[in-house]
Amino acid sequence: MKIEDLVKKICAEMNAKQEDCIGARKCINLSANHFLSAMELVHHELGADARLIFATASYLDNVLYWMAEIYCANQGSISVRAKVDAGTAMPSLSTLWPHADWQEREAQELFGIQFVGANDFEPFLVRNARVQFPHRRQ
Amino acid sequence: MSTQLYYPPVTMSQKGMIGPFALSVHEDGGLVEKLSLGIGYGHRGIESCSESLVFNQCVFYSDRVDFLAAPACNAAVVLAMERLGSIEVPERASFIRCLLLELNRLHSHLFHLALIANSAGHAPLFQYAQRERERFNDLFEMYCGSRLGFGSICLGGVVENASDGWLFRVEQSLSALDEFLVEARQTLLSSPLFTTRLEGLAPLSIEVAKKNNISGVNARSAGHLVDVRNESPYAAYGELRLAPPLASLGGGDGLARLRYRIYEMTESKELILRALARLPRGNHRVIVGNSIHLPRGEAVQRVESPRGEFGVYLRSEGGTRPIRLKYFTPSYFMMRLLPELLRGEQVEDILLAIHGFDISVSEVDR
Repeated sequence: MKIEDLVKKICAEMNAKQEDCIGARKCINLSANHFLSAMELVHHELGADARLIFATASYLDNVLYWMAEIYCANQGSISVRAKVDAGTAMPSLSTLWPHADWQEREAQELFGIQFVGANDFEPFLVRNARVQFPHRRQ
Repeated sequence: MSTQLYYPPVTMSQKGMIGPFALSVHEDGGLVEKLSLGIGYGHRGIESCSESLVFNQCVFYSDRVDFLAAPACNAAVVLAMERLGSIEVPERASFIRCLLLELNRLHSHLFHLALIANSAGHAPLFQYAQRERERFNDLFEMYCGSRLGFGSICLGGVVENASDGWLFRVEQSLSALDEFLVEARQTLLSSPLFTTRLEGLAPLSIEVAKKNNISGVNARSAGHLVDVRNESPYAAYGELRLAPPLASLGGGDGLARLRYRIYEMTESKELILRALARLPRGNHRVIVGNSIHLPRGEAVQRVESPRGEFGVYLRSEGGTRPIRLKYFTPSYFMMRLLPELLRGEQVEDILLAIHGFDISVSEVDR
């Protein structure tokens, strides 16, 4: 499936909004409870060509969100993001892309985002930090 | 019955010389049964610090993400900023960027060969490879004052114009490299000192490489032919027409990785010669100022660093500083896979295997 069609499908099925992006990237904003289903759809429709190149936490207008960027050869990339609400956990992507676990582990340690379905990891980058989640803004 | 060995952190002062990290090995009859990693000893919070720096300062701080691939780190950050700010770079600057990136690749691969030789106990080859690497360090020093190329690629172009004298020295260094590569091929790929230890060492399959986002030489030597220079050409790579990655060098083991790195050095040499032949005249930089404002938005830029796919996610809210600058690095994904790949290998081959994957710990920790 082409990325354009996939984006339309996700927007229609999951009440997601498409954002303007530079270049061949497509950005989709959706709610946290649709995040995993959207990623499963991306994984299923784009198949082996789809690579999760990174997943990270970031801020948009001082609101923390979690995003995953998938690159598909010859098509460009698609960025799926969801707002992280206080007290709610994000679904883990490690069942779809195993290498997502270390990126989730990093986000858990630096931003304090919790993940459902992830391994119970110990902090590994800033074990002795004086601030609990050094990247998180108050 | 299995026993447990505790290795102290492998530090810069030790033979490994790839950065500080800890290994804890459970061994069974000399074979690795389970391996645990400890990272983060060199965590400098580069991403967090960048949020308090102006865009231009972030470029110079990016060198420290991977000191062996400073121009690649610079290029990723700079290209993302230029994309976000719609900054047009002179054509000459794009070609010089390619020159610097490929010279850096040669420099990094030579360091890698030296490390492999050192871990296999071949002291002369270690010294020869370091001698060759010095030539490229000299070139970077002549160009920008830093022997590792720190700050050579800057916002709006490159830091200095390439003089004719410097370009002549580049050509000379490449001719000298040719002779070394012939020697290295004979020594490395035919000497039992390397072949018996590297053959079949820590094999990486194409499926595992794909599933775990492994890139660079490690992936290509396993048959996963990804190369950002081909997939999404940046700087002047589109005009230099890089040949597609070779599938015939595949095999996925330590020897295949070494073979592929030597092949890549020849390929880099060809690319540099092609860039030299087509280097246009003109300006090397457009002045963008020290406190540039980038518009609200975000950009993702990937480049092919000597270790694989290196990238940057940049988010700006319209000021002089980034809101978020995230680095995604090839060694991070490679390091994660080490316990799986080293299971069943001999304990004494651990360092050789780790060097074979060309992992940069400074990239993992950031």
